[in-house]
Amino acid sequence: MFKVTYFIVFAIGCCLGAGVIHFWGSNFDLGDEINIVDLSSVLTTLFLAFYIPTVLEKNRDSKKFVKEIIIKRVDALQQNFDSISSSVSSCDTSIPVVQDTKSDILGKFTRISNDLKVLEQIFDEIKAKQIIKDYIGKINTLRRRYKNHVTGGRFDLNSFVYTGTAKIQESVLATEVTKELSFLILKINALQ
Amino acid sequence: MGIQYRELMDKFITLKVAEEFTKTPGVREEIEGNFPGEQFLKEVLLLKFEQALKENIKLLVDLDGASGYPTSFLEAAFGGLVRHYKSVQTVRDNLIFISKDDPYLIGDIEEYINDALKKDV
Repeated sequence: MFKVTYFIVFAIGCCLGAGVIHFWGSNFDLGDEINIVDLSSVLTTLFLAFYIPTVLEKNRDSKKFVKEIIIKRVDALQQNFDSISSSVSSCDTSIPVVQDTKSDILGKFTRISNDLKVLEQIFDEIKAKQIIKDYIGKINTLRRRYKNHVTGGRFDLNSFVYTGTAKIQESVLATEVTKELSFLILKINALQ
Repeated sequence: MGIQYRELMDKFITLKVAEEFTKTPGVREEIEGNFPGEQFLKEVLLLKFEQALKENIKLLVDLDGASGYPTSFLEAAFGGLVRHYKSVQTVRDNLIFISKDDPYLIGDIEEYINDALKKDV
């Protein structure tokens, strides 16, 4: 479609030029010699008019699209972590955690693992720099620490409660996760 | 310790947690009692592992189909297995996992196995 449009515009330009020469040619004093500098300038302009939209801008838009996809994935990851944090902080320190809440927390951790794996695969696919891939390893280590804290201890006991201390520690770990995910987004934005 | 399931089913004793124990490890109804991790170890995992050792083949633990695994359950089960045999190597050499539902679960379990003897019981 783009090539057809380009051809049509080029043809119109040629026809206009021919028309001007035919009808008003006597009003113009046209030289017989071609100036090399002017010709180079025209050819360079034509080349840039073609190269910039078809190659440079397309490449830029493609990279922007990939970054947006990745950032959406990181946002989804953050939402799941936030959801778990919200579940933990809303638990009463004197009332056992209900089974539905436990199931929900475990389900969210499974989703986090899968989302993280997808990110890892995307970075492999786009051949991201090692420093970006290392961030996935860092976030995975944090994920494990966070999961160990939230679902460790005697989580499987019916009488399990999140103590005040446990909730504070959870909050510290959740903040660390948010920080690393934010750094990851900054790294992604800085990608060429 | 993860492996391709189809190719190796015949060469292992298999243990499907969701079918042979529970689909909700670590999330139990009151009537089912507490300590599901230890219960899984004593009633299912130890027996199958011992059988695998006797027959000189590996135990393939399929973790798929469950609603998620809390650390408390995994540590009690697989960490407990290491503490029973007092050997990380024995467990690592004879246990294989499958986990398509949660891609990092096997790595987590490996950590609990490696750290099992450092834990104060």
